[in-house]
Amino acid sequence: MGKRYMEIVVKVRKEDEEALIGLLSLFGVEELWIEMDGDEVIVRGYTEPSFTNRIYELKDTIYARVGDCAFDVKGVGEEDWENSWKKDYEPVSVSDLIEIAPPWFTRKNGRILIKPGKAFGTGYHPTTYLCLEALSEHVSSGDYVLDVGSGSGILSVAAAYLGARSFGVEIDEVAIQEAVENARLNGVDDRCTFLRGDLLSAISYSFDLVVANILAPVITFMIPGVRRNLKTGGYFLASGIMDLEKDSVLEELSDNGFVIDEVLSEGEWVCIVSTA
Amino acid sequence: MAKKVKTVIKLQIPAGKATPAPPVGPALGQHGVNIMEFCKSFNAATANKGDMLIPVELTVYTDRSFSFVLKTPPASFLLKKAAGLEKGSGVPNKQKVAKIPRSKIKEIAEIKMQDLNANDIEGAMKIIEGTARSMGIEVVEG
Repeated sequence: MGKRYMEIVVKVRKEDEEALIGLLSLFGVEELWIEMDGDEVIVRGYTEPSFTNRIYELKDTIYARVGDCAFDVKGVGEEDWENSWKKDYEPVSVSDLIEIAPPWFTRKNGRILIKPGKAFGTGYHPTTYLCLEALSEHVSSGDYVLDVGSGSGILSVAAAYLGARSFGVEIDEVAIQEAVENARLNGVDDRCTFLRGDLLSAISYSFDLVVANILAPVITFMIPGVRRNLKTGGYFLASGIMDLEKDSVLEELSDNGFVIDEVLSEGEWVCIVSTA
Repeated sequence: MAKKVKTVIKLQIPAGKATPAPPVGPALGQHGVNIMEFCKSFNAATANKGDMLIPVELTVYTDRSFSFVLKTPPASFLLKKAAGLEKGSGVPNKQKVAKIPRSKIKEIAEIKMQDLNANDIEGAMKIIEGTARSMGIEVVEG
């Protein structure tokens, strides 16, 4: 038998949240999970099962101070929380060439391992796999690829895996560390470089392909800069764009001399493939 | 990257002591957030905060990646400390469980200021006094 916990669940109006947290605190119940539910707040407190003998006192005190509210007590058995969060992760097949999986899956040909963590780009979002699909199609061995807003490094790692030399630019230091780790995890750290920088401000080079999975307004803003950093005939893969934002990005691309090759879509998200 | 928020999770955990046990495990597990990664990052970020209780707001994105922001310790926790109430020793059924001088309220208000919806320190003190009252802690001059 593993350890057991008592879970105390109380639902109060938003304005009583502080008072409730204070009362729980007086009873030594301080490790909390607080969730908003419309105008109300659900507070879950966790304590030892031996708290049973104070539960009525706690309930009475809460009723006396904040009025009637939903109050519930449950026993919670120990679970393997360290591992149970992993249960819904399955490898995602992106193209004939690559699939994405978290690092507890074994390494094999065509599989890229990405650690789910603090940087966006675990592979479980349409914008990410639309970019991966486009990379599979357009990266050639020996290409120089620029990944703007590289996050977890997933796109740089994939490009390197497909034979490119990747450069990721990212403003968030934490994400850079995770990207470096992901490149190492896949044995492509010798072909991936991650730089700290704000979009294209640190970049002056002619790449064969630029990929940016950010947001439509940011993409639109950086289009002229991308043009300057792309070889003629080079590809620009732009994603993080919602379907309803697509037209303005397409227009800006055309205004800057890009030729639109295709628009990939998945649900409400699109990835625009264009050529300089 | 194209961050899209899936949910926001609020927790209260002792500084430097996050583990996969509740509340962390059940709260993060259901959204598929990397629990050990969170614990490690939280503990590193709060290593210098002694025995404080730290509210943390986690933003979970649609691809299950996350970020978090630390908040100042809960007013109730600081009040309890200032009033010398041991963990769980309060007798809140009695009308008053402790007394605390207004100068302490001011100190707490200063710590909490950045997280409170108050224009000035007087406003912040009023909020802290309200929390004290609801806990049965009496505010006295001094």
